[in-house]
Amino acid sequence: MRMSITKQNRKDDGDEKRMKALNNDKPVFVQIIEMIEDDILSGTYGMDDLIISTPQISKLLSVNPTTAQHAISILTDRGIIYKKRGVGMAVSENSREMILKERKDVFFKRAVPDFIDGAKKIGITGDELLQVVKENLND
Amino acid sequence: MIELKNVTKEYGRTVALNDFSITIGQPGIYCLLGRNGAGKTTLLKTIAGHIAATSGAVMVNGKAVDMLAMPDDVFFVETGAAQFNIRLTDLFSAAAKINPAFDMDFAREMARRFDLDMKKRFKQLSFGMKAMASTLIALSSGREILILDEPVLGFDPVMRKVFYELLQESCAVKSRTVIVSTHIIDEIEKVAEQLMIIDKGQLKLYCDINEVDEKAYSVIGSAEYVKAATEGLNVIGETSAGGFLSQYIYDKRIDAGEGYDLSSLNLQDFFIAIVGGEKEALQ
Amino acid sequence: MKESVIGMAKVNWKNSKTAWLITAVIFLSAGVAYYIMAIFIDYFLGDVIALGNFLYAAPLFLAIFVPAQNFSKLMHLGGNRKNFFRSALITYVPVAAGASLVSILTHMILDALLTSAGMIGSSLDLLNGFGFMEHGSVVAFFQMTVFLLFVSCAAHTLTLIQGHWYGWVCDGLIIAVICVFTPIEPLRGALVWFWNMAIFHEYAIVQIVFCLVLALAIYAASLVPIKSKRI
Repeated sequence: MRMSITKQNRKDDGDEKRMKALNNDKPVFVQIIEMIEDDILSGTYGMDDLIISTPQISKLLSVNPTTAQHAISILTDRGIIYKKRGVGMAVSENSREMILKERKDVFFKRAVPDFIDGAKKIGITGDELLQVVKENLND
Repeated sequence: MIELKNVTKEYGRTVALNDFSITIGQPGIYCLLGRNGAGKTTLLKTIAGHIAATSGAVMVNGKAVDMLAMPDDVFFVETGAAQFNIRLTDLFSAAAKINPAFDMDFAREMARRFDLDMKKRFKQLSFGMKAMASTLIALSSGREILILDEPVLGFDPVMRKVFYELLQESCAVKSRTVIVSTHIIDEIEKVAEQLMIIDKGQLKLYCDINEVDEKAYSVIGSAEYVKAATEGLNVIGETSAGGFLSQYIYDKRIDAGEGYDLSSLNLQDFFIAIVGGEKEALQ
Repeated sequence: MKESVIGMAKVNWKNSKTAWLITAVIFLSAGVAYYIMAIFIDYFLGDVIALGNFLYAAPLFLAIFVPAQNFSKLMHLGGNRKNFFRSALITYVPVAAGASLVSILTHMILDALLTSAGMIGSSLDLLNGFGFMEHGSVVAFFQMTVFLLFVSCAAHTLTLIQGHWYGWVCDGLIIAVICVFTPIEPLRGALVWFWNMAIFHEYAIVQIVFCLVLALAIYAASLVPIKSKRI
């Protein structure tokens, strides 16, 4: 089972975790969003579960609290999480479906065309491509 | 609220601030970056009324600032500020006499956390501890606007860490504006909310720190691909080696593509790209 | 604002060690030592300079060291120039009054007792020299207080203007007045008039008002150097 980054009990190893958790490819807030989404998809967070708080994110990943806040507010705006009065932010009812839909959109609109483009550039034909996909699926 | 309108400050022939305008409204932690001699200290001293602008207007909370009418809402901590050479307990009570809203409990608690020996006289302290004592007085002063000119100069790494935590805590307790100038960018990056970059007496950039996270990145790859990918974007700097080109962008993000890679710029690299003049050096 | 001004005065009293130390050294090494010698060594014939007079050093040195040493430190503790201007006068007044009061008390009690007991001969006292005691002790107190205040204000402003061009001009003028006015007869008249107004006037009220107005005018002038004083 994959390890959750945003939900864990160990403390004081923020810097060590940061090495693994954050990279330079994307803005930090995007990576925080993706981490939380990953944890919702994997079931680490269920419906109505409280998610990690902004100060916790900031401490754990050693990032600016406003950046963590930025990520949380985007997730809130998208309706993936909601504010539970006086307790914190909790996972919305159909957050899983929303995340899945968005990820699928990205997959079909970007990942698939890129994949096909890449194949074409190195001279792989359509039939060969289908063949490869089928073989990999059966593995 | 701090407002500077067309402020110019000249020292003889040297222009330290050149037609400088800025409005600082929202409370929060502001980070002021700039190279040595860029005008940081001049800017901060002008806001505090320690020095007077040659021309232009400086206002704090709607009141004009000059050297006599120094703003009551501002506490400015100068680098290497001299204090009365008395025990810190006495120094803190002196500060409490001058600042009616001084929070002595907070000051004592913070001194304890920093292992500041309250029985020592000011001159017996190390450079870093002196700066810490002055900074603690500012943080406890109860003023709305704190201006700290290179507070962490002379702090060891542990002190710096505790200092930044303290800064965040004190801002969480009371809504206030704190302006911090520093050269240790990777640390202030994790604390500051707003960013000001000053260069050659002018404001180069003033934005939310998240904008840098979102918009600052580099595009690296073979020159032709990189140039094609970044066309129309705001290129703030570049370096090249052989056929490879690395361009620093401050604009909307583009997607990764063939022939080039994307990489986020941290604040330090971003700062260097903005003021380092590497682009100019190439031209 | 008000609290801050009084707070600064309090901090000044507590942190003017140099001024207190100089006063204490003068008081002990000159004043007290003189008395002891006069009492125990007959050679001195018993004449002394009144003990209380040495305390006049306090308002003088305070007004030199507050602007010279305390100003920047007060600013670093969150003070501002305008409040410094207000607070410095508040710092000097009680010290001038205190020095005046104690010197009158020692004059009336200690010196009187020692003289009548024959332990000291006569005591040379500015209170007598200035003719203040002729107006009674209460009036003398006010006369000495305003005179010391005038001295404080002059020291305060003179200290602050050093380093400015107008400071040099002022220093030059003072030296010129002393060197030129004293030997030349008609100009000496002006000096005599001045000291008569400031010290010797037969009507105490004239001397008090003159010193007070002059002190405040000189003090007000210090606003100019304070405004541009480097922190």
